[in-house]
Amino acid sequence: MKRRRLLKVGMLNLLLLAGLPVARAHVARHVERGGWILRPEDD
Amino acid sequence: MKITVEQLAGVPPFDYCIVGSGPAGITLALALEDAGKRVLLLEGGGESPSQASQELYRGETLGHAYRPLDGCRIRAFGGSSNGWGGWCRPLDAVDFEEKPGLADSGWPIRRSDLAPYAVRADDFFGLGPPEDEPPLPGAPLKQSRFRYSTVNFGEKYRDRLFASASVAVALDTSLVAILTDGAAVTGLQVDAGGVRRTLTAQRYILATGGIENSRLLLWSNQLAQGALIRQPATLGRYWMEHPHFTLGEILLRHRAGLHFDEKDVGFVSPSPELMAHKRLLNCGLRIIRGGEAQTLDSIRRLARVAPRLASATLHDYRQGQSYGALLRASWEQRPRAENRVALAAQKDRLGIPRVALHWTLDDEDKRTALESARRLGRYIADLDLGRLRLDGWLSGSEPFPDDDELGGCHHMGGTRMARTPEQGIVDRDCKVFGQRNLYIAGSSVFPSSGFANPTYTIVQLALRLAAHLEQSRTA
Repeated sequence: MKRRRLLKVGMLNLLLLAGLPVARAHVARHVERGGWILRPEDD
Repeated sequence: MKITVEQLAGVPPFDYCIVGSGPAGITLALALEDAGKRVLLLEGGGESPSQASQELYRGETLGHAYRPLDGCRIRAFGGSSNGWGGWCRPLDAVDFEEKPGLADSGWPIRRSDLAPYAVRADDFFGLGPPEDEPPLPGAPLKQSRFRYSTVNFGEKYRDRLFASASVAVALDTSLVAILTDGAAVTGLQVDAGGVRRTLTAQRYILATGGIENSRLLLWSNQLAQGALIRQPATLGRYWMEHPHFTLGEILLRHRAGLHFDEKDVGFVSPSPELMAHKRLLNCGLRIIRGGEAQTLDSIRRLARVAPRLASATLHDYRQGQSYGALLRASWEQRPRAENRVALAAQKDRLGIPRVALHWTLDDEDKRTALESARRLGRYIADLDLGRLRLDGWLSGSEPFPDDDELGGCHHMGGTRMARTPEQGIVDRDCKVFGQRNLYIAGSSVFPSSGFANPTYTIVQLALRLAAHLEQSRTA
């Protein structure tokens, strides 16, 4: 489990460094969809 | 007393002649009457509004769509207070300050210069004391409060002025030219039903509104071949409105922390720190509670992007714990020389060129509205007070809509207050640069506008001007 979590965090860091949108979505406090300002966990 | 121009023949010159009987003119007349002065108050319209009088206010608008110019101001005794909404709020301290990076911002006076006149202004408006405007904890936003006046200046002060021994009110008497010898005003040429006269006083105050002040000065300066306003580069320019648009909608799940007033409207604006940090102008966000149809429509729109959250919101709504609200705003425009009052080619029946109003909105307007609304949206999402949706035109690249309220009929600028005649038309005491005895009252002197409706500040400024006039006479 611990190895899998470390791998996930490592992958996210890589994506973040690469500036990919999926990484930003994981760390953003808000997302905008259809004009709505939402929390990332909204649906 | 009421008087006609014919009756003025042979009357000794008045101490003051005030042109225009809106909130600025009436406030000044009453304050100067209290000081024991003889005042002539001229009103171009009649005792109540009429189509014939309004016709003189017709004009053309260029740039962004705007309201008809004969429909957003009133030429009658009491001026535009015959049709105003009564919204009262002083400007914020930050509105008077020069903003870093914002050219042509800032007043030569501070909020504290107007503060001594607040209690008396409250009295004129029939208002109770103001309430605090608390911050929103943890947000770069603050709550604002408006007070609502029911005073129509014409109706409330008519009897007192018409019965006054020292204030003479001439109705249906239009200013057609300001005469000058180059250093001082020597008289006013007026038209009363086709009869033309020149009226004189020791001092003159132009208080004809946020468009007419510029128009009459532009025309009079043209007639005087530049001897009235010697440095006219800013005359008519830096004109401003408070743009009024719907920015989106809010589904509020709880009210916690947000204050809603007796009209069920909540007001939120960016904090001075956020304005400085993001270089925003001041913005008044209005959260206006909607009914069932609005709420259900909002929930349907939310369901398209977050169905489970929408379902929970619908459940809350049925429990009476959630509702939809419209997000509207009116905000401060950047003072821009291109926005201006100019003279049109066509003349009115008095022979004065009609107004040509140039008004545009720019990226600065959009950024102020968008960033302010976005901050509110993030705040209410963070605290789970609800969710906010921004309209597509605001968050996208589309232009401003042309079918909204557009403006609040708040006509500001054109004869801005400044430190030097190169930068404006009046000095910090509202005296026209280069003229010994000509002053301007009203929102045309605003160098920048904040977001608060202007009438309260107009009355504060008029009371300050009355105090200055009396102090400078005795000095």
